[in-house]
Amino acid sequence: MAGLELLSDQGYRVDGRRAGELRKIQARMGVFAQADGSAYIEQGNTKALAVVYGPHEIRGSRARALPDRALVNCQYSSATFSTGERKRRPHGDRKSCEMGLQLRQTFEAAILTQLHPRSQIDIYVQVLQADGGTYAACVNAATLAVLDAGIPMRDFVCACSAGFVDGTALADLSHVEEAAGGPQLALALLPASGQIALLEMDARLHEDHLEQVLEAAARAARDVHTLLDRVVRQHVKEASILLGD
Amino acid sequence: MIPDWKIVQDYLEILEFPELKGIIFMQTACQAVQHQRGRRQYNKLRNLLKDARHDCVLFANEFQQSCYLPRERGESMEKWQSRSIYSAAVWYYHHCQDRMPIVMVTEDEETIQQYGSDTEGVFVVSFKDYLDNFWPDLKAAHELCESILQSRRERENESQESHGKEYAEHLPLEVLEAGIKSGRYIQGILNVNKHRAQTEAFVRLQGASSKDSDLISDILIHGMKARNRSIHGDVVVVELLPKNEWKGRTTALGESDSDDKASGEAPSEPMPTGRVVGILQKNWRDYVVTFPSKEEVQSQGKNAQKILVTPWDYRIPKIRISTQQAEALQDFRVVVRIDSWESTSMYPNGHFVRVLGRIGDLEGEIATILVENSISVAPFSEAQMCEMPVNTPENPWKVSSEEERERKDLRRTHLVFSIDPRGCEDVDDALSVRALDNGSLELGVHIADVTHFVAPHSYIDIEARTRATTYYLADRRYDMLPSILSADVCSLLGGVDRYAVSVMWELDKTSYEIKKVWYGRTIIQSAYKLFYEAAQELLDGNVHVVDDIPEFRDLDEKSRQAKLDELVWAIGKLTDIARHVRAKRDRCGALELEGVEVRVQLDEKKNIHDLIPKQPLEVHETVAECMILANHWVARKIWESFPHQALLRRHPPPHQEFFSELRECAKAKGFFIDTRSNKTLADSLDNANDPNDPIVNKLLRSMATQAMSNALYFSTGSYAEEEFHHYGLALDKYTHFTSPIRRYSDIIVHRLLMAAISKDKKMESKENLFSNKDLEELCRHINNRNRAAQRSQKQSTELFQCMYFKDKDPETEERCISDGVIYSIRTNGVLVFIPRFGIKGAAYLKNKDGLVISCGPDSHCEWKPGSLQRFQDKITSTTTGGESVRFCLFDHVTVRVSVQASRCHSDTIRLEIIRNEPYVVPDAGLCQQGSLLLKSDLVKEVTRSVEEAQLAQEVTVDVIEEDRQKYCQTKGRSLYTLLEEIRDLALLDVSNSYRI
Repeated sequence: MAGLELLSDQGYRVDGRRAGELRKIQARMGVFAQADGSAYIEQGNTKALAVVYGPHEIRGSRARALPDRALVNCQYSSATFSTGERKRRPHGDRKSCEMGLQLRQTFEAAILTQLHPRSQIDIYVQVLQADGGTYAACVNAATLAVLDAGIPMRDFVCACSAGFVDGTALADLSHVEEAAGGPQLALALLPASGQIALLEMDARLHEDHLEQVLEAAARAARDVHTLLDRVVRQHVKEASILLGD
Repeated sequence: MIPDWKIVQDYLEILEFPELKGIIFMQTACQAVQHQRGRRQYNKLRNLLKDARHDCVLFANEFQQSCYLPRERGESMEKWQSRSIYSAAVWYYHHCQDRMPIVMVTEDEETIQQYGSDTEGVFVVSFKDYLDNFWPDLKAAHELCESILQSRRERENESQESHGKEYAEHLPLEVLEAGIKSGRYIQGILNVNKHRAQTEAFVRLQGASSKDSDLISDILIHGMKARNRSIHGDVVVVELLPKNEWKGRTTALGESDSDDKASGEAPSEPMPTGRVVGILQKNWRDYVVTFPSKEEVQSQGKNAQKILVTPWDYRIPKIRISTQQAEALQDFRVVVRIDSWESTSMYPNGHFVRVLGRIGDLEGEIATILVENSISVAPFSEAQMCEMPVNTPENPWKVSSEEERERKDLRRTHLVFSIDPRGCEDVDDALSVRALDNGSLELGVHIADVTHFVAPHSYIDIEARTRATTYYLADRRYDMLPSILSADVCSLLGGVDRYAVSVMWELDKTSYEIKKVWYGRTIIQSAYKLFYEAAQELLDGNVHVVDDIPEFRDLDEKSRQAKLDELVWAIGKLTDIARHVRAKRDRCGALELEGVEVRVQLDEKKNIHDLIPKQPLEVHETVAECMILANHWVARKIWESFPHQALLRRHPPPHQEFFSELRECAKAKGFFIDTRSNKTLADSLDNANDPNDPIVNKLLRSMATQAMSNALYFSTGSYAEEEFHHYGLALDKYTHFTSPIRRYSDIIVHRLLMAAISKDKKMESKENLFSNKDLEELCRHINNRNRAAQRSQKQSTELFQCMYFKDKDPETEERCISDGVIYSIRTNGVLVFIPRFGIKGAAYLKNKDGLVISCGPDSHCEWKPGSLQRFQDKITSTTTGGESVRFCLFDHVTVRVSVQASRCHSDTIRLEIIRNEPYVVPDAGLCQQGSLLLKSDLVKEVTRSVEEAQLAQEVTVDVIEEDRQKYCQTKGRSLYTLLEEIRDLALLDVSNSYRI
C-alpha cells in the first residue's frame, strides 16, 4: 500500500536513473577456453554467463536433424543463489523451460541456420545474479558468445526490457520496478535492420501506450548494441595482438 | 534554506507558509518523510514542491556524484541522514560560487555543534533560531511552532506514562491487506451519524470488497470503542461481528444532549455490525472548535494546560489541545489540527492554528462554514492580477487585430442577445437565431471565451483550479475568477465586443432537424441583455415591457419597432426550436425528471434553496434547453476527438432500494410511483398530484431527488461507454460547457474543444491536455469542491434562518408560527417541512420529561403523560386519560419555530407542533407572495441588523471624537492620562499589599 514511488516528480527512478537510461553494462568475451564461444555480461546487478558449442553433429537421436538448416538448442538455468529467495533447483522448472524456448526462437531468427544443415548449435545460459531483465541479459550474453564462436549471424541480437509507469515508459527495469507489478515488455531487436526477433509482454497495457513503450525498448536495445559492438571490437583487437600480428 | 529531515517531518505546516520561500528539500529528507510519516504527509510535501508560488525545489542529493555519501559501518540512520544533508548543503553553497549563504535548519543539538562552524557561509541553526532571526514578524508561524512544540512535548510525556489502553491497537498494514483480499475484513469510508455521533457510525463499502460479499447495506459501527479512533471520512478496515451481536439503527429523533438510549425503544431490524481494526487513510483536515467556557474549564480540573475542545462538526470527537491561551480564546471560533490519537487516550491530541472570529458573529460564523468545507477565499494575489487584461475608462479593453483575423466575426451578421436573471453580472452565455439564405435556420449558443484569458498553468489558472467553482453563500459569493474577468472582460454584456466560443447548428426550417454543426472561436456583440421576465413578456406579446429594456430607450419610434419585431421573432423562434428539441428527446424514450431540472435551473439562477421554484417561465426552459443542447453536442465532439481523456458528466441511475421511502409516502396518499426507469418515474411523479395540496407533489419530487445519486464529472478513459449515461437528462453524453466563468470543469472542456478543433484542422495542438489519470484526479477534486460548495450554501442558509428567528420571541411574534407538512414519521416525532421558509426539521411528539402531545377540543396542543404508537404511515399519541391524536403523512399542522442556541455548534431550528390543523394565514396575500421573496428578505434583514450593530459601535467612536474636539484634548497620550495611570497603579499596589 505504501506504494513505492517508481518515478519521482523530478523524473528520477528509484535507483537514480532517468526514464530512458540503461544500467551500467560490462561484458567480456571468450571467458572459457574449452567452449567454442563464451561470454559474460553484467547489466547493473544482473549477471549472466553464456556458452556456445557448435555447430556440430546432432547428438542423440538423429531423427531430430533438420535437412535444410541447423538445430538451435538452448538451455537456460539460473543459479540457486541468484535470487532473493533461494531456489530449489537450478534448471528444468517451468520458467526455465519457457525461457529456453524464447531464447531458441530469438536465435533461430538471428543465426543463419541454413548454412549448417543437419547440424546442431548449443547455447547454454546461466544467470548468476538476477536483478531484473534476465531475459535481456541472457540474449545479450548469448549474442556475444555466438559471435565468439564465429557462427554467422544476420546481425547482433540486442534485447532490453521496458515498463510503463505514470504515463512514462521506463527502459531496462530493475528487480524493484518489475516487482511493482506494472506492465513489462521484453524486446529482442536486430538493430541494423530494426527487425524484431522476439517481443513478449504478459500484462495488460492500453493499446495507446504500446507504441511509446515499444519505442523506449527499441531505443534502449540500440544503445545496448553500441555497447556490445564496442566490446566485440575490443575483443578482436586483443585477440589479434595475442595472435602476434 | 535547507531543512533537516526531522524539520520536514514535524514542521511541514510552517514550511507551507507562503512567506517562506526558496526552500531546498533534500531527497534524503523527503524519503525519510515518506518512510516514517506515510503517504499523506508525503503528498502534502509533493504538493508544496509542485506549487509554483512557493519557489521550492527538490535536490536529489543521493543521485549527485559529489553529494552521495555511503552510510558508514555502525552509523545510525539519523546520523547518516544529517551528514548527507549537510554535505549536500555545502556542495550547494560551493555550487552557487560561495555567493548565496545557505541555512541548514535542524533540531538536533549534536548536529549544530558538529557542523555549526565547519564551513563558512553554511549556517546550521535550530528551527526556533531560524524563525527568530529570519522571520521575526511572522507571528502566525511562531505561534504554530510553539503549539507544535508543546503538543510534541506532551506526547513524549504521555508515552512515558503508561496508561491503561482505551482502544485496541490497529493491526499492521500487511495483515489488513491480506484480510481484505481474503474477504475477512472489509474496506470502506467511515460516516458518522450526525445526530448520534457518540454511538452510531456507518461504513460505506468501497472498491472491490463490496462485489464479492453479499452485503449490500452499510455496516454499522456501534460506539466509540468499536470505532477505534477513526474519524469521520477516514478509509477504514472493518471486521464483521458475529450475527448475534448485530444491532439495529435507531429511528427515534435524538436530541444531541439527551441520552435517548435509556428510553428503551425498540431499534429497527438488526443490520451488519462491525468494528474497526485499522485505518488505511486518515482524512484529517482543519477543524473549527470552541473552547469550553470558564465554568466548564474548572470542572475539567486538574490539568489546566490540556483542554478538551468541542468541534463545530458534531461528527468529530472532542480534541485535546495544549495551550495557555485557553481563557483568551473562550469566546472565539478557533481552527485546530489533529496531530495524533494514541491507543492510550480517550481523545485525539491536536494543536491550535488560528482564530476565526467571535461566536455568534456573522463574519465569524461564515468563516467557520468556509473552513469546515475547506474553502479558501483569500483575495487574488498581485501576481495573479498581473496576468489579467486591463479595462479602465482611460485604457479600454479592445479586440486585437490578430484575434480579429483568427476568429469568425459575428458582430454584424448575427443578432445575439442574452437572457439572465435581473441584475446578473457574469453573463456566460448568449443566444442567436437567424434564417440562412438557403432557407435553413441557424441556432447559435455563444459562451464567454474564458480560456483566452486564462492560460493553462498560469497563476490564475492554478488558483481557479484550486477553487474549482464560484461559491454562492446566502448573502455573498466568492468568485472563481477575479471580477475583471467574471463581471467585465469575459461577461457577454450588451453593446460591447467580446470574445466567445460558439456552437452553431444549421437546422431544417420546418422539422428543426440538425443538419450541420460548427464549433469555433468568435467575436460577438450582444445586442440585448434581457432578463427572464422581460423575455417572457415579449414572448407573450406584451410589448409594454420595452420600457424596461435599456437598449430600446433611446431609439426613435420607427427603428424601435423594427428592432423590436426582430427580437420578438428571434425569441419566438428560439422557444419553438427548444420545444422541438425537447420533444425529440422525449420521443427517444427519455423523459426529463422535473425535480432534477428545477434544481439545476435554480442553481444557474443562484437561488438559495432548491425546493422553492420561482414562477417557472417558459423562457427558463428555452434557455436551459439550448444550454443542454450545446453541452450535449460539445460532449460528443470532445469525446470523439479524445476518447480517453475527455471530461464529461454522468449521472448514474439510482439504487432502487433508496426509493422505498418515496414509494411508501406516495402510497399513503394513494399514489403509485413506478421507479423502474427514469421515464416511468417521471410519468408517475407527474400523475401524483393532489389537486387540493400542491405541496404533496413538491415533497414527492424532492424525495425522488434525494434518493438519486449525484451527477459527477469523470474522465472518459476511466469508464466504459455505457456508463457515460446521464440519467436525469436522459442523454448518452453530457458535459458542462456553458459556464466557464464560474466552473473550472467548463474551462477544461473549452480547452478540450479548442484542441479538438485544431486537431480537425490537422494543426499541432498548442495546449498540452491532461492525461486520463490527471484528469480523473482533477475530476475528483472538482466533484469534492462542488459538494463543498453545495454544503456551504446549505449551511449558510441555515445560519441565516437561525439568525432571523433568533431575536424573535416565539411566544408572541406572528412570524414564528407557520404551516407545516409532515413528510416522515419516526418513533418519537415527525419530520416537518415548512413551505413558507423552506425549512425542514424535526418536531417531537414526546418531550424530555416523557410527556406526549395531546390535542384539546380547540385543537391546541398540550403536553400530557401518555404513550406513542408508530405505524407505517401515521403515529398516534395516546394520553393516560384516553384521549388520542393521530398524525398522518402529509398532514398539515401549525408549528412554532424557535431557535435552539448552541455554543459549540451552529444554532438549530426547533419546531413545535401547537395545533394539529393547518395554520390559517391572517393575511392571505402574504402566502401568495411566494416564499422566495421572503427568502431574500430574510438575508437582507439579517445583514442589515449586523450592519446596524457595527454602526452602533462606530457611533460610540464618533462620540469620543466629538468630546475630544469639544474639550480640545490632545489626541495621543496626554500627561494627564499618564499621571492618572500611575495613580491607578499606585493605588492597586497599596491595596494589594494592604490585603496581604
